[in-house]
Amino acid sequence: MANLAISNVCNLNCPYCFAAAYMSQTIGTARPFITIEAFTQRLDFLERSHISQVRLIGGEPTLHPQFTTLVQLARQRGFTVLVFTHGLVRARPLTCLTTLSPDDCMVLVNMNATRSGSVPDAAETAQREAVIRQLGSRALLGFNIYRPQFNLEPLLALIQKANCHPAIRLGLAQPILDGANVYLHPKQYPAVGRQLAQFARRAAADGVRLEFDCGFVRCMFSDEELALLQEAGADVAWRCNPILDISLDERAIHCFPLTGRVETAVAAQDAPTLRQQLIVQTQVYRRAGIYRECSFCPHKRQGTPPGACTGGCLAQTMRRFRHQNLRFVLPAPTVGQGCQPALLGEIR
Amino acid sequence: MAAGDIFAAPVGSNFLLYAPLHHVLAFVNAPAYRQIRQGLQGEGEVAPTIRPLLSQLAARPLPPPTARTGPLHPPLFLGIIPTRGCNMGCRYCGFAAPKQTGPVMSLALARTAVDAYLNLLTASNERHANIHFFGGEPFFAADVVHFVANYATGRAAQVGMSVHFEATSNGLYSPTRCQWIADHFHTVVLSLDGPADIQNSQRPGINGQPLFEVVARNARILSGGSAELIIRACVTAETAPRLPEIAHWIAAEFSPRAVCFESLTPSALSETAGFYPPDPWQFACHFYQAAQILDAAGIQTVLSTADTSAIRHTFCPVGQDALIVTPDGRVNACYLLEEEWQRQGLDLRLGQLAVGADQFDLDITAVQRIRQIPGQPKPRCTYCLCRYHCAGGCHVNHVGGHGRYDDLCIQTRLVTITTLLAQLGLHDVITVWHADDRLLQQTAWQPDDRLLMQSWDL
Amino acid sequence: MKTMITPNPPQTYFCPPHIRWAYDAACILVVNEQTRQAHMLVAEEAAIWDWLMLGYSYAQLIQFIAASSDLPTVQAENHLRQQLQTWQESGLLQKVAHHG
Repeated sequence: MANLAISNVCNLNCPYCFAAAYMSQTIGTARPFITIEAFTQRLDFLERSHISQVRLIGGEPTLHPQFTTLVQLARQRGFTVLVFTHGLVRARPLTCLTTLSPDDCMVLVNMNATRSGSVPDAAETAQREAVIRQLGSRALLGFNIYRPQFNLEPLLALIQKANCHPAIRLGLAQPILDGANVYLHPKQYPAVGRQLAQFARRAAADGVRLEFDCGFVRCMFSDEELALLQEAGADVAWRCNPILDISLDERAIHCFPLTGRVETAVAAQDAPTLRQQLIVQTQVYRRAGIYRECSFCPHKRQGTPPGACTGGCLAQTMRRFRHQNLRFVLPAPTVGQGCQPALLGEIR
Repeated sequence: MAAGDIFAAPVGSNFLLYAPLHHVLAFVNAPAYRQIRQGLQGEGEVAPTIRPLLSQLAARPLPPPTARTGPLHPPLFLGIIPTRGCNMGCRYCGFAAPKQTGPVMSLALARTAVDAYLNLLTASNERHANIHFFGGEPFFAADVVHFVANYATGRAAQVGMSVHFEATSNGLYSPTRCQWIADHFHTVVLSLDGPADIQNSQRPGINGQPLFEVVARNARILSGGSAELIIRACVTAETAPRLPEIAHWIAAEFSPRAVCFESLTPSALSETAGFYPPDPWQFACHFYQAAQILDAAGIQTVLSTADTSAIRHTFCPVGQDALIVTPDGRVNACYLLEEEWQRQGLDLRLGQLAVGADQFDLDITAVQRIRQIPGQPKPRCTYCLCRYHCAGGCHVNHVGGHGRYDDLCIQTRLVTITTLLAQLGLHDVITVWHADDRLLQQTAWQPDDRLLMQSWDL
Repeated sequence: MKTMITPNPPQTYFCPPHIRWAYDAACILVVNEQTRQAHMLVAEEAAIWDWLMLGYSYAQLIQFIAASSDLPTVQAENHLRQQLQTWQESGLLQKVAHHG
């Protein structure tokens, strides 16, 4: 799995956007969109990595002026296509996507993307729903949880109405390591966990499955809540791995929140090699987790088989680490004694 | 059947039925109320819809909470008072600088307190320790807190114990110190009365200077750290109508786990400063509006006497064997100043702690006596539906007027009933009820909440 | 001939920028981003690290160590010096080079 950034621009302003640091690095650059030549090289990269799906990200990927050409290029080489979009898609890219078979194309629509920096307004919601209706079963609804109170009920109704893919992809808004986006604090996870467990049951009754994106942790759910989720068929997972976001300038980034901190040059390497390099870069932080208790938590034991909790999002974890510009003066020991118990030390 | 623990409060033409020991909370109309009363007395016909409720009320209730007995239990927590001094000049506070200039706890005494406490827990096979810091302002003697936090963590780890640290603080310190608190503490109760004009008026610096910016900045740091932040706002007559505004502001600016709105405890000091407690009727209505706003942001709203989440024997640490060590080594059951409890004729001293001792020197007679204090309910509590939550309130400050409800009682009763109605989702009922003074009065002044003692002419 | 005894100069330590740490439930996790090594500081070692990073002076550190370990001041001093030496050897602290 690797995500290809094809656009560094977005026309919305989501408060929780974790690509903001990535996009801000490229403000004012001459080329905010991937070139056809570079995109062809990315497809080569996917091929040599034995990856069969092209995952298009941004910014907003559908803003790429040659979006249709890029999708066609990917299809011509036999890739299936997954597009991550805010859902306010213009006519041409939308037509391009709706002409593809649902078997070859999936569109993950972020349902709470907005221009307002707050929640989507009525016009945005209406426009997005119209797009989703056209996409039909190609549409997979996604929702970023960035506040402890949220309402997923309208998504169930929309899935029925628009005959979307019967699942909801849930993301926990994570912090940009060096930035200032709105994100869900780990203290708020248990409150979210309670609501998700309740919602999973209602979703299952409608034949809708919950899928968890990265950053969820085991302890945000009680045993009963976890049982509820499993009973409801939710795809419960505790992931935090290098996704490989491939930037326009050919960097392989662990994930957008870690832009500028955990990344490596793509060069002629394949995805497993790049992923391994990023794992090595971050290994030193993996003992810790998002909570103080993680390093001793039985759910998070290093080296345990898949299924063990990773301790949550690495960006959240790394934000817990501090540095102090300390200068400490140690006075000279006195002759004939071990040390002088004098008030010589001074800190600046 | 503990029918004395089945309560009903009139809300308009209906009744809130509440029996916490039976896990019963219901909103019933007058005919249902009448049938339940008759049913409990073994009289009259009962409609099939009422029967499940009646059988739940007839079932054996939970035992009422009682006083601790026997030898010293694992204490509720170890309280450390590093200093009685404070670096703020809050205009209603008896601790405010420079009123208290008492000593700072020595590191040796702090270490002794931790050792003695952990020894107690180890002897009882306890795995978790709770250490609370009070003041004055505990971080006014930050060395003691820095020392205790590290020493206790290390000592506890040696015996396989974890430590939960909690502090009640005014938020006046550097960002670096605040970050340290956010990293080390599990719970921080931060006094922040509201936006700048309120905070600066009620909680200024020693020389009256505004300190809002510092405290608000630190609230943000705490909000983003590991510690659970609880904002405690003192509500006055002037600020009560602004509770919804305060709630909006807190929800927008911070992410506390809870906001605790507490009405001002009147004193000569507060009156001199021109601050008065809020009107209880007004407080209850605005409290509900604030709670709605905070709830929408996932933040809990608390009035300590109306916390319905647990059944309590005592309102506070008093009677729960909490050991609160003063800077000079006295061990008390209450963190308030001794002269405050002495003024009420109370002796809440448990014993003392000598530097280097491996255990507290506690007067077991005093422990037993203090345990009984909450068990001596004020007469008005006997027939009040709040008795298992409010438990009579503060033993030091909520006294007098034994047979009658006072303003604090009215406030507690109205907030408790509102909270219970909200738990049932009856927000429309609350709106109508709050809008009608006559209905509120009818509820609040009901002479006896015990169902079987009532004589409503229906 | 007169012998000149030159006393050892005071030593200044600093924490290099690639050293970061997090407070965990019962330890402090220190990572060296340069060597990609992690160190887990527990008990008194963690306490001294924290007090050091809080900016306490030499004298205050001695006081804390003496109080927490129940040691006489002289031994507390030796203990602190040894600890600083250990951290310097493991790269968590570095000495500022003194010239002249």
